[in-house]
Amino acid sequence: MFLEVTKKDLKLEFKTKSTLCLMLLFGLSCAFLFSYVVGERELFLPLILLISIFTGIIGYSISFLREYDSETIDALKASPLTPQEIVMGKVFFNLFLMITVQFVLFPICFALFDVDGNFILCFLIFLVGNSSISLVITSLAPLSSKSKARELLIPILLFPVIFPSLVLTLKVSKAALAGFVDFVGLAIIAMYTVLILSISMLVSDHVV
Amino acid sequence: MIQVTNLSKKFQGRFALKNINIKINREKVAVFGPNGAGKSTLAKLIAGVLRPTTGKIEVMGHDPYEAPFIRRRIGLVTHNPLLYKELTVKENLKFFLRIYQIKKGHTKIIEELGISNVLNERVSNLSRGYIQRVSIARALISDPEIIIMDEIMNSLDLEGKKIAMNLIRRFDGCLIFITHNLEESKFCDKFIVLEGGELKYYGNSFHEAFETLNVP
Repeated sequence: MFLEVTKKDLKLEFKTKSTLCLMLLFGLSCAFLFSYVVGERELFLPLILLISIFTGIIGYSISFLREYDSETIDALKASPLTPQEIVMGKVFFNLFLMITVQFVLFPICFALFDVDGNFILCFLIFLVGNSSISLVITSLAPLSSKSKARELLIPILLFPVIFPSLVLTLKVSKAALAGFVDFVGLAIIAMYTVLILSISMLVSDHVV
Repeated sequence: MIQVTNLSKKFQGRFALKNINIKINREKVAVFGPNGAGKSTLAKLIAGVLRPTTGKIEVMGHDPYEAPFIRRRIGLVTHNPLLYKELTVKENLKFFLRIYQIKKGHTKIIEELGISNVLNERVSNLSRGYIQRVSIARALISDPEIIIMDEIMNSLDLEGKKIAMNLIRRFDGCLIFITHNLEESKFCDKFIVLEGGELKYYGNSFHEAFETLNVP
């Protein structure tokens, strides 16, 4: 049933294009600015990770908080959907947006920073890490949704939790750039993501 | 059908509802009260949107907040339409049909509410009256046994009001009708008066309810 929420959000997004445009605009501005001013190859992965975090927060903010601001969350809560299904619907919507953004941004950044290495492998591995970041952001973000200072609270809550995902994604992507697949790193990313998702599902009854 | 026992709801330390006890069977119940009396909070609690701070709500023997399947049998219409403004009427209704897992039987309510001619319009392009009609359709497409209507008449035009009243009068389930307009609720079997989150009256007499309300 959660896929219905995802489908509805995608339909809303294709009509307004507000979230995707904002995410792409932010990502491309950062990429062009940093490549022009700094241009160091070593900055490629940290920068694209940084962009991932903020595009993830933008995606979450628009998709989830839109429901609260227009009070349509009440229609979802009054429906037979469980809080877990509502959160999962949002998680997959944000995941779709973040992957779409990376399909545009990653090749552009790769070219702008003139990176040497295995593009395809690095891109695929990065998508796995990026998905983990997206899942962690969206699954934990509802914790702040009832707070008045939610925009301020999201980064404060997220950064400590997202840090392991970030470091591991950086590690496995670096290895992939050199042509290696860090299976242990990928397994830890997967386990960490499952752990955070499980916690999110357990607390969603109280936060949605 | 609905059993509310020692129900209280607090928002940021302030009681919105305090120690409410009511039992509603298959009947039409009007809820009155001044602004801030707790009427909408009571509606949301019965619909399973909010969780009680203390006390218990049972709808057909189940807690509506904890049991998603029971929410399928409750239709909530509020003064806020609870629709996605960027989507068309059809897309909105289709979404709710899918999450309520309904495949047929909904066309009648669409025709009855007179919205079949605006199905392809974006909700944001409709007048307030039509938005409210779509909102009523959203809540009724699941053919609920309990309907909660929270001040829905305000944005309806005369024709809309007539259609809504016809639907309400014909409905043979449990209706909770929240309103500021006492005249509109005379058809109800029971009357609840709330004030400052407390239950001031619950009984069969419209006149007693009116007097309890203490309208100057």
